[in-house]
Amino acid sequence: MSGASTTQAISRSFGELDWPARIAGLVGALSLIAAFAAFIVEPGAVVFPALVFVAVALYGWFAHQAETARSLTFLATASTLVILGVITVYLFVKAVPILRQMGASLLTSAVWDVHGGRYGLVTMMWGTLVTTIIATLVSAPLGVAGAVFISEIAPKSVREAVKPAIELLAGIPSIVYGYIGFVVINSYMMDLFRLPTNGSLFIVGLVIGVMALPTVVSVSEDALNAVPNAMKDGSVALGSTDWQTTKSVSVPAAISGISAAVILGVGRALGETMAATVILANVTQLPEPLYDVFGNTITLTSAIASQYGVAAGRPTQLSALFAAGVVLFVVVLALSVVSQTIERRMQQTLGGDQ
Amino acid sequence: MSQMETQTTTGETEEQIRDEWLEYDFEGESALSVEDLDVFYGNDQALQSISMDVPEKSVTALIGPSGCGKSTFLRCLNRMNDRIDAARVEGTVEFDGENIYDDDVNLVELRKRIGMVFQSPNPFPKSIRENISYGPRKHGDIDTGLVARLLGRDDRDEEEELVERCLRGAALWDEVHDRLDDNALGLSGGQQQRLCIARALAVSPDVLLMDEPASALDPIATSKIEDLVEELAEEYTVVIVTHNMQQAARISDQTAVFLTGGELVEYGDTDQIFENPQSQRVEDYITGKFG
Ligand SMILES: Nc1ncnc2c1ncn2[C@@H]1O[C@H](COP(=O)(O)OP(=O)(O)OP(=O)(O)O)[C@@H](O)[C@H]1O
Ligand SMILES: [Mg+2]
Repeated sequence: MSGASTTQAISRSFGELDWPARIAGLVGALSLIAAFAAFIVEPGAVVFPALVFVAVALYGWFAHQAETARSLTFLATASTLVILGVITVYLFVKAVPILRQMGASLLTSAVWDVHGGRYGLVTMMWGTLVTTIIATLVSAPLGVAGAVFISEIAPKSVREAVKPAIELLAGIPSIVYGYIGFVVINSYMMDLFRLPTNGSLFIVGLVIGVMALPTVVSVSEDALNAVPNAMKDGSVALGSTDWQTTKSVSVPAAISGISAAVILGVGRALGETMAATVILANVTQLPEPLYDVFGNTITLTSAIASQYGVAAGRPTQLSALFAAGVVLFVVVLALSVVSQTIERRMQQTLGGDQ
Repeated sequence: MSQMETQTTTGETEEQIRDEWLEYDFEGESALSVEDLDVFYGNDQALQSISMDVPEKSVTALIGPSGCGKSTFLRCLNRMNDRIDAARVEGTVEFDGENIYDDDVNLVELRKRIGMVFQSPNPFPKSIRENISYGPRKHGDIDTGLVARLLGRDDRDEEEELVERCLRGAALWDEVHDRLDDNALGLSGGQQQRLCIARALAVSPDVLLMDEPASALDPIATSKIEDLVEELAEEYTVVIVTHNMQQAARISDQTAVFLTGGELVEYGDTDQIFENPQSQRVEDYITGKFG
């Protein structure tokens, strides 16, 4: 519906324009198409249609600013969507050959045999699952407790200082976390537990859990803050303590937002690449025994990051890595949808619409 | 108009708040005794040196135009203003022989004894039953938890009894008795307001502060609430804010009139206030000339 009305709006404004402007619009559109065509056929020639497009856009900007702005913003949005769509399709298409070759065993086999050309994703799915669980165990309790403190317990001045500081932590590049994890925690743990090997799923989970903390804290805090003050006042006015109010009114009312925060944090843990790649030795074998969290294996992301270079000459391995990407994509997408649904439902409940 | 008069014939028409208009002699004890209460929000003064005694086991109505500080005054009486960062309260409120603004006052205990129903309904997003038993549970009067049951204590019967008694008290039982486990947010606005009244009753406070409890209700529910208020006054002290003059006239024993700027202009027997107000401004307000 909105697509149709956008088209209508554009064609209506096209109809209102004078002739030079219509021609300019046409030339702009044609030059854009020509640029794409040139990109595929002869990349060097892209410059010419691109220059024409820029010239037309400049003319439009000075002659008909409103219409030009509308078209350009529309173009920007449309190309974002198209590019994302193309990437998604490409991802799936590239994963098809390995699926055809391996069938269902792609998702049920733990064999990653580069020489034999047989690939199963179970090892890396296991690695991702274990690190994600550990990361959740680290970030969920700490993050939720932190959010409760910031939003309900801390005085206002502390809240105003701490919240932005925590959000700042989310901006630290993941390679830094990974590097610290490898250099500091890894050697400490090797000493502590007398581990035989460098790196382990446990350290990766720990580091990712810490990385996810700012997200969990900040989103849970938002959820707690969204609980109306009137509701908390109602509890206090009945003669309950602040802590009882937090425990029995604020947290339950915000619980869906808090779960959304945890899921969001977990999503980050799932997709996290650098920490896992830096810390793990990338052994494509299941840990022995399976629950050995100090073992060294591989995750979906670290498999892609560490193998795409060497896989360049082997189409099946490349395709298997794309399949790993598809698995990640689907799981992260599902988590994000779940978390958004939960959050929307919470807003409805608190708004009393339900 | 009044501005002009004030400027030209000062002393003649400018009305000052006179002490005799605030004098209210009543028999019996006072439940709350307010002395020189000032409230500021930041730099704005919302209440100007309010003094009044609230007699126990009676209904005291607070009326006045919007924004004159009625809710602010009510919130002073159970120290809910403490929860507003910008608010600053000066003066004393004596309750049960103690100034509630003393440092060593136990706020939890105080609010247990001085309950409150807010201007807009604020039920918890829990079941109707849990809304009612919330207060008693927090005070440890009711415990139906697993641990309590394992220890041989199970108050489920008491809870049922309490829920029914309070819901009947708030004239809500007939409408909800077959869906006590439904979420309270699914009730209508008027039902939510009555649930909040029931919830406050469950704590058995000595004083009940009600901020326009009937503003969201239809005439039938309103009259139920009015009956309830009159009934409550046999056991409790009720202080009620209302915009509805007839309502104030119907249900209250004494009425305090606040006017814009946060002044208490006149306080006295309800019949006297409505039939024979001393202050010209109060008369104008009551007869609808000003407000
Ligand atoms: N939280 C607050 N922060 C700042 N100012 C406030 C706050 N609450 C109330 N005020 C101000 O104090 C004055 C009195 O407000 P109050 O809510 O007590 O009025 P009211 O008599 O209850 O009005 P109404 O009949 O509309 O409910 C108003 O001018 C209002 O703007
Ligand atoms: Mg009010």
